[in-house]
Amino acid sequence: MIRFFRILTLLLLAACLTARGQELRTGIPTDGGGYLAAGDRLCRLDAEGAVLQNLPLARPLRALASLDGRLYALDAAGRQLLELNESGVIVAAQALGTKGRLRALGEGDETLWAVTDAGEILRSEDGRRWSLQDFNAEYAGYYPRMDFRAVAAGGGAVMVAGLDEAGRLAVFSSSRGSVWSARPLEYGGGQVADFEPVSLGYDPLRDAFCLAGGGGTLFTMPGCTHCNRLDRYPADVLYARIPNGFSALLLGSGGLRKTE
Amino acid sequence: MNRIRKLLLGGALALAASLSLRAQGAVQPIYLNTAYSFEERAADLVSRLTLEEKQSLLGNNMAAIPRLGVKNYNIWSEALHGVLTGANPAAGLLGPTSFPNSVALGSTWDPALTERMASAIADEARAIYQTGTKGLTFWSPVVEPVRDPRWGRTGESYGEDPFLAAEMARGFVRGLMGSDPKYLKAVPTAKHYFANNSEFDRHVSSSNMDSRDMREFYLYPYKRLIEDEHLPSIMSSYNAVNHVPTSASAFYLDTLARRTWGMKGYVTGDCAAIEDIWNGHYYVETREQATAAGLRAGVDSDCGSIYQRFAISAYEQGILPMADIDRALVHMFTVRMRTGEFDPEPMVPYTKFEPARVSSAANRALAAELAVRTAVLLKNEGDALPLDPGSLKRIALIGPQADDVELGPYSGRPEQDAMISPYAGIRSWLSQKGYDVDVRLAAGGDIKSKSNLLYIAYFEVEKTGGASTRYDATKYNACSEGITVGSGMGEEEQVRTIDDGAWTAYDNVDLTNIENITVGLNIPTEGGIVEIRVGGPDGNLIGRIEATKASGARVGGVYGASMPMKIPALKLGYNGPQTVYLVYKAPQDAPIDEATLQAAREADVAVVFVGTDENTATEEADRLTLLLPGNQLALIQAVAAVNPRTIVVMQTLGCVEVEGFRHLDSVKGILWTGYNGQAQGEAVPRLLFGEVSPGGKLNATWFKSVKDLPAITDYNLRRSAGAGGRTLWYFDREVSYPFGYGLSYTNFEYSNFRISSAQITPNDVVTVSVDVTNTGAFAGDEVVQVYVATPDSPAGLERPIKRLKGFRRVTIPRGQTRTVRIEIPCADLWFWDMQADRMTYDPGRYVFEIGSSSQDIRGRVSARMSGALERRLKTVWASCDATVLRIGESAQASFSACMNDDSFYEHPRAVWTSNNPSVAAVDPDGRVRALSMGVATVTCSVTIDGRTLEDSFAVKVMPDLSLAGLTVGGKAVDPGNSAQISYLLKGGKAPEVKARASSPAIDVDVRQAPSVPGTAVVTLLDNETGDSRALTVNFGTRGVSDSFKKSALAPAWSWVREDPAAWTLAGAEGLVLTAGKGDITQGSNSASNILLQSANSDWTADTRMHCFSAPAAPAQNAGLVAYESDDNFVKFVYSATFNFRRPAAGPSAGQLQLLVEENGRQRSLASLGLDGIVGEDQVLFLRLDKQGDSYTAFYSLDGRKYEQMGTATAVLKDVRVGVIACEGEAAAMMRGVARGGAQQPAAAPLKVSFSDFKLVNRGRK
Repeated sequence: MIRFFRILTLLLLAACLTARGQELRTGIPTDGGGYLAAGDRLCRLDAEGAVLQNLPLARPLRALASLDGRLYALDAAGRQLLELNESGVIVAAQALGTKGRLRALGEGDETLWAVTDAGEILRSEDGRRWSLQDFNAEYAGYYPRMDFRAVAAGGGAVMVAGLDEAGRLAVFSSSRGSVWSARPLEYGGGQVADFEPVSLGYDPLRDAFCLAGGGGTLFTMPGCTHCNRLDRYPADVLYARIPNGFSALLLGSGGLRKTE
Repeated sequence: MNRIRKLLLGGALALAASLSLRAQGAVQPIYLNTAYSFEERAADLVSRLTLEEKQSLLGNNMAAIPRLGVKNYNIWSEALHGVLTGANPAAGLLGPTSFPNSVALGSTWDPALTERMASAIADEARAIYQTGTKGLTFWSPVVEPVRDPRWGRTGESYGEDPFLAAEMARGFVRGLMGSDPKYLKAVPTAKHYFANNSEFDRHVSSSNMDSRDMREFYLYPYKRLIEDEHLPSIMSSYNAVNHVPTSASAFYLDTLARRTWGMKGYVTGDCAAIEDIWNGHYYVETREQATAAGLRAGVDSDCGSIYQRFAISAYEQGILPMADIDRALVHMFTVRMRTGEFDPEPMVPYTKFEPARVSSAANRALAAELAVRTAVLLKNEGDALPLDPGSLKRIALIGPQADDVELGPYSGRPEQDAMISPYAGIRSWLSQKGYDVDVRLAAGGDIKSKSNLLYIAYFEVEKTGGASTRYDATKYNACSEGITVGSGMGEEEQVRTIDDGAWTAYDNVDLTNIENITVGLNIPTEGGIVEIRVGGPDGNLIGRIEATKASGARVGGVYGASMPMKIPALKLGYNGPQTVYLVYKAPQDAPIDEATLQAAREADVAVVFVGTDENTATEEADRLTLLLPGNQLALIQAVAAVNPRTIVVMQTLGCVEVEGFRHLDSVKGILWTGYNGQAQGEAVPRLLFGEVSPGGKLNATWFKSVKDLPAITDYNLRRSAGAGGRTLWYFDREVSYPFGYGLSYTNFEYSNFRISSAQITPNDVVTVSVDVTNTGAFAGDEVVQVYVATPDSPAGLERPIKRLKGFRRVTIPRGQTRTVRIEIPCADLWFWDMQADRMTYDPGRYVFEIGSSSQDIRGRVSARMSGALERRLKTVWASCDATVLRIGESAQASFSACMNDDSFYEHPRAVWTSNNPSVAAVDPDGRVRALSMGVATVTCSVTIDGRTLEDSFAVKVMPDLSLAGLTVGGKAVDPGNSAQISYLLKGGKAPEVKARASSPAIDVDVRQAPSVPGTAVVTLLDNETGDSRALTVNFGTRGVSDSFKKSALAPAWSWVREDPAAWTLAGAEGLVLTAGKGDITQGSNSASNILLQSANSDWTADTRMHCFSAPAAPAQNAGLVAYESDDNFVKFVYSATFNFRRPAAGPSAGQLQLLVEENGRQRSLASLGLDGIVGEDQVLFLRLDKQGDSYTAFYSLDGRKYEQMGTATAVLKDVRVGVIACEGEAAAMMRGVARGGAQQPAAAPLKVSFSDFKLVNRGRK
């Protein structure tokens, strides 16, 4: 389903939040509109992009995801999965029993995904019962040890990105979330992408995963593994690319907000 | 320890642990046991994989499977003229050697030299592989003959003629594969199979041709490489051939490559070629279907992610057999095993290559040798060349290529000190030789592309006040010749193939109060200028956008998406709708600067270095012109005007138009080198100053003008309407330089032409001989070429003017004579008989023209062809409809026998044998029966006319997932073949179920039924593969029949998601349901008013159904349902049909469908279109008959005579049966995916009635 809200309104909102000194870092479109988070604020938007609520948060959030109409987030410390109601109130908090800190949350193909900086990959079909795969243990000797930073799913695939033990970018993809393939990071005739990943998103119209991160980098990975593309935007860090119908909102440090 | 070494060590440890099992006395897995064949080991490995693991291995990024010691592996590497990678200091690797690219290699006419080069590349590949950074499977070489020089990848091919391309590729393939009888040094992949000879439309187009051109020209190199060199891999292309995507064609891939020529190995799809089946060619509707089409056709690996995302769902939909997945993986792993990946290092001869092999002194020297031998001397008036360095005081090196190293596409990044430009090379050579020559350098020109200027997606007119209107640029009303629309690898449709002066026009563009104009465009290389004009291409200008790299605009490359460029519009007072023209202009050529001319003027000799680069043409972008790009033609002319001793050195990707300068008196010499590698600068002085004489020959015809060529989309070789023929075979007009042309500093005289026999048959080998004498003053190389013409062939057959059928490059010292003997197997003189579908040989004279080029024929010998080819068996191909079997299962093998004329023997007989009949036996009809665990090789032996050939395949037999014993309530029960047995009881406590597996390797779990009705579940689990088999024991009670004509429903009924407002009992009409939104299809589990009663035994259910109108919306459906849950059911429904491809075709009567959904995955088992069947009263009688796990659907129009529709198999638990009517939802695979803009028509809610529901229960007591 294509979830649509007005990008212009988002930009105005972004400007408003940035003016308050709080950078927009994450956001999600949902069936009925969308959410944007900045610092200790959560903005709920209707399907037309109008701001329904500008909500104070009890504590800052790390990531947002939505499943079956429920809103989920990670606490800033990466210790708990939070379930929020539509007013931004935390209605449930759950420790997921991970060794590492939860770093990212994503939803796709009716499944919630989370990753940790200790190389753990978690999945849940209902937001309550979670299964955990210890990637670093399972792939010891086959793939580098990973500090995962980002996860996204969609189009029949799930992708995780992070830094390996040498501090280099590494990305893995899977169709069902158990068996992982290394994603080639070559682009533009033999160059290899290497930057600090911040967030992953899946763009259904492009059937591509978009990895945002350090150096204002957006690394687009379509189905064709030959066809990666790297773009840089004028920001120290590109926090997120949030697809929205035929457009996408880019959020970056220094107040970067841009549609493409 | 660096990361790479750690990874390697980890993988090695896992493998070593497995390998040490034998030493510990444990059973070694077959896939690691070198006593078995590679194919047997691959089958064993595949049998151990879970379904998700299998899917993860179907792409170029093959996942690691640590539990089996399988490391991750990227099949995709490139090595067209060197390993495509850069230096890796962490691994101790220098940048790899970059040898001359293929167009240059093709001009050496020296397959042995190419073999040496490929062997050196394989050395470097092995050294790189040892560090864990690259695989050993290379998607090289390109063997497509160059049908049209505008093709963007001309430089990657060995040339225009299929014989030359095959011979040069033969050298490459041999060198890469190595000579070990067991192991492959590296794996070559010939591409792009086939007729991928234009770039701009390659994802969507069809290369159309008759079977003669197909066989004689396009497929010839593949045939030769597979048959002669046992080529282990090919790449299927993006394009279709005759409207069938090559990557979805079992005929092209399986029938031709495997069954006709006998290819053993794997087929990889080009990157996104599988996606193109769905999204480019619209050949199938879904990505699951594309997956099935590719795998069934024989594409074993998808460079992309379609297979890796959709193979499981295709399998679950029932459109992709597991055997096709397994076969593909066996092909992949067999080749990986042939590289020695799974064998102990001491067994593999190629595991000792140190990093120092990369960019070694020996390889640098070989690159330098090759760079010299590619050169073709095109003009040498008055023996202007070689230059005498001793007589020169000053030499001017002019042009954009003078101090540049152009490596061409698919090159690695060699070390900086290995890349020698002509300027650096000449200075170095002169210095080393002690000559005091003043070398002046002046670029003087540029190489900027002046075609494929821009990709245009849209333009936008902004009015005063800010309102704007966007126009889709691809929806033009008129355009200049040559404009196309395409998206290439991207999503966005764009106007493309824009040349200088091209235009597109748009009617009814409202220019009232225009303020700004924005054009959404991408700059693929250098860019161009967009003029926005009104009324015509020369109309009033209202805007001009400088979209050029030179002006600082962003260059997106050939894969780029559009970016907006906005300018203020010139307000000329236009009101209302106008016709707006976007007129495209190439950037102005830079003028030739005076300093350059001064350098030329003052020099004793001016050498102008010109050429093309990767911006001129490349993958995804063909040339629109054959002119030298940039201002290079003007540069040559300007230099020639001031220096009477001008030499032109050209580095181009192939033919360029030279008529503009080759006849100039001042242009005394022209030397062409292709992109001759990292050492090109070392070669130039050796050639120019006569240390070596140029000895190469053109590998393609150099046409006088692009206007001499048919349209690039025309794949016919023979003269077609309004166009001339193609290549040396059929092009009969004057050319600038013919195929095979090339001069030397010396002269060669040909004499004593001989042929071994004047009478030949297709079964002979004829030897053509000639004495070649070097009569000049230099030692030199000559390429003796043999062309064959068939003047007695009937004119109507349009045989080629001539075909290259033999050549040899020889080095002859001055004054000496060499006898050159060229053997030609007469079997290779075939033509394709389109009627008989086999090779044929024209009787009569065969003239063997011996010469120095295709037009410089020095002598002719002839022989008379008679007789026929002795047909003999050439290829036996055997395959089986399963690779992995369980004990007790069987599979059918099949085979084919292809003769040496490429026809199939119609009724061959085979003798089948198994090398391990205790594991898998095979009967005389090729039925393979699995008897015990292990692997076996089944061999098919065919004898025709006394000649016997054989082929074989491996089969892995897995543990049996069957039961050794089953008791229900203490009584032994034989479930037969069914996965479900049913009991009809009176209720109460359910009997206890006990089960025992046939094999100790299988775990058994029994979940008892709590009561009756209820279901006990017996699960058999193979822990090795995760495969499981469930058997259910259903305990049911008797149900009720209900006419639905009473005032209330029978008490046995219950509703799922009842909506009381949407159902009623309407007397004689029965139960009337008005369908609500939703369905129970896949994830859409929201349908209301499903009326059910328990039916957990076997039964037959009947009902009369009346639709008040035919289902019209795409997913509306109503009928009978056997229901366990929203995710597990069998539905027999009347549903709408919708023509997504032709929505205007109008409504149809709908269809009956038998659908099964298990665990949320739905598949369609049978469908029947009801056009002309269902009456106007829209009444159908439906019957569903359950027997164990089998559900058979019947329909009737009168309630008396029933027709069987189909049978579904599903293992449902706690089954209920009843009726359903719902609006449905489009299948998930169709949601969110725009396909051709099809609009779904609005339709009224579906309203149906059911009556005379009858249920007859059966079951064990």
